[in-house]
Amino acid sequence: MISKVGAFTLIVLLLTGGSSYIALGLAHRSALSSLDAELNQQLPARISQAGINSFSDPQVEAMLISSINADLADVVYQSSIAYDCHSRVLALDESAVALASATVADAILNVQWQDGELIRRVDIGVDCQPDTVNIVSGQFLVSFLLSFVLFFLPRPLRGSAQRRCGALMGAGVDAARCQALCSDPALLVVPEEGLPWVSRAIALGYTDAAAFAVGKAEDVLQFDAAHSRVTIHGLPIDLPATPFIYYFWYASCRLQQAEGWFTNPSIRKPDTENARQLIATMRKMGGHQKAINDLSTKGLRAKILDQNRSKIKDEVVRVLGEDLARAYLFEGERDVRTARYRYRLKISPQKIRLNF
Amino acid sequence: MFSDSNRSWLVYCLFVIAILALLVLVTVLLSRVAVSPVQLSDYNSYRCEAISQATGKAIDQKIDSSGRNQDNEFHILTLTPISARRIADDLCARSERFGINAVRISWHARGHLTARDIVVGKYDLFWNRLHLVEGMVPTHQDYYAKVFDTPTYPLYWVAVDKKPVANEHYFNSHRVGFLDDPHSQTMFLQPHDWLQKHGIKLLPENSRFYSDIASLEEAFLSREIDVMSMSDTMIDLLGIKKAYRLLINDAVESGSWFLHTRWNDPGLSCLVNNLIVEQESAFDVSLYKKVRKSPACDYSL
Repeated sequence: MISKVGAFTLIVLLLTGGSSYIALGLAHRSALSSLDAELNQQLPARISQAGINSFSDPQVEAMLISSINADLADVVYQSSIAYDCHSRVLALDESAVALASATVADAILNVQWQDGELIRRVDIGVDCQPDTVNIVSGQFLVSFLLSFVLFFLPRPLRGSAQRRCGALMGAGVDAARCQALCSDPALLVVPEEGLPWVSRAIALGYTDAAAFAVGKAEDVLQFDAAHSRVTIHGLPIDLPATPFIYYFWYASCRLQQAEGWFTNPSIRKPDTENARQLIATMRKMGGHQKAINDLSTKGLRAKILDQNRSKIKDEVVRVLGEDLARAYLFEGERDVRTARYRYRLKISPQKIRLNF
Repeated sequence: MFSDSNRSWLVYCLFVIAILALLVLVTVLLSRVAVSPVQLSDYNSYRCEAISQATGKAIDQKIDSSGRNQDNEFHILTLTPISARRIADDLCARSERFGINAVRISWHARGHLTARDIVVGKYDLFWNRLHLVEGMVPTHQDYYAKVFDTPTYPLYWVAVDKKPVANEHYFNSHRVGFLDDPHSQTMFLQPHDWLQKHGIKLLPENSRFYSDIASLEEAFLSREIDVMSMSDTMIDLLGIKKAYRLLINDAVESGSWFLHTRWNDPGLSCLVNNLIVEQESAFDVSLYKKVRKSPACDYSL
């Protein structure tokens, strides 16, 4: 990648070079055409008159040429850039001026006119001496100022970046932050469906890079028993020990049973079988003794399950927000056989990672 | 229709184009070069400063009390630039004794000199034909004195294929060129006079008239015309190797030099005579061999 200073220097140099080239070319052309117009207007009549009764005498021609040259030496070039030209007669009618140096010139102006029955002509050689340093430095100054404007002109976002920016703004990121995020090429690597996660991470105070990492993270629900933490789409959520274990237990049910449903136990008859399994899990994961005692004395009750699902929901929604959280929480329905409610994790089993 | 993204790119590109256009515009405005109106000098005259015999340098210009240049310029009018510069330079080198600071020599067509010029004494010295000067100002002697007559010259019909013959058959079977100027002795009056005397009437389709000498010469050289009137000098200048001549007049008057009567100094008159004869004879030996310089000319210091 070219650095910003490098890019700026390159723009200034390109503009200076291009505009200097144009300036030198234009100055040359305008100087020549202006001189050409002046000479065409005045020279023919003067020369025609001057040669009266002279029968093309070489000495008369020489005198005329030296007079024209003296006038040409007095020509003043007006311009806002330093530009000066020297011109002299190279040929008058058929006779070229016999000077070795006279035959070479940058440009030749040809003044031609009808004199009686004759076509007469004068060739004027013009050599121009532009003050190149002066011209280039002037163009550099102008180019520098305009490059400054050009360089700091806000660039519009490319199509996909524009769309992503729209998605972020729609997800509640403020416009200024959005502009900064959108001009970061890393945003383009974030998949479309990861954008709501980026804006959630931003809302949670993540840095740009961390937010992009969240956006790109795998869409899984990962359990970390050692820290009683779930990570959803790269966003970690710390849960109290007991709700974490219940969340884990529902996830295990989703993985082990065909449909993953778990029906609330009857109020009259708590579930002791599942209570034992839960107690074993709690012991392994360092669950609270109070919860273990409660399970062992009273068995697994619907009330406890409801309470813990509610706590899980609160924590997950707190971090992910309602919309993002929904897919990772519970769905419930009435069990037609027992007429009690049953619940399971909404997420598909393929997206669940249990980690002991 | 444009999407939002395309539209903002369009706006951005327009901005970039506008900035580049601004650069080009500034460049164009800055780099325009124009020459200030050119004042051409007078190509029909030549001026030299008089040279001091003592120092060999130009004589200092006299400045009067009001700061004006009291330039005592000697103004000569002649008909051709040939020899003009040599005459002026020569006079500049030898005129100190007459209080002349500078010499200007101008050359114009014969009709340039007017009666008013003669009466007000615009020129110090001029060359013209005596009959024209008399016609303009019958009392011209009150203003100008004739210094000397320039030599007469022979005039011929000239052709390049075979010698012209003095009969109507020849002139009606060849194309004849004239200068379209009834004042021209050489190329209009003399040849027409000769034709009249020989009773030759030209067919209109064989007579060609040209507006200037160069065009007439060009027509002759390119064989657009077969025959025209020429002096020996013209034949030499045109570089015609084999010219067939038929005499029109062996002594055509060429004109006279007139010096203003304010120069009431025989020394200057004598100087002008000798100087012009010297210069002109160097240019045209055959014509001036009969002309003599004034013998005792007291113009030296």
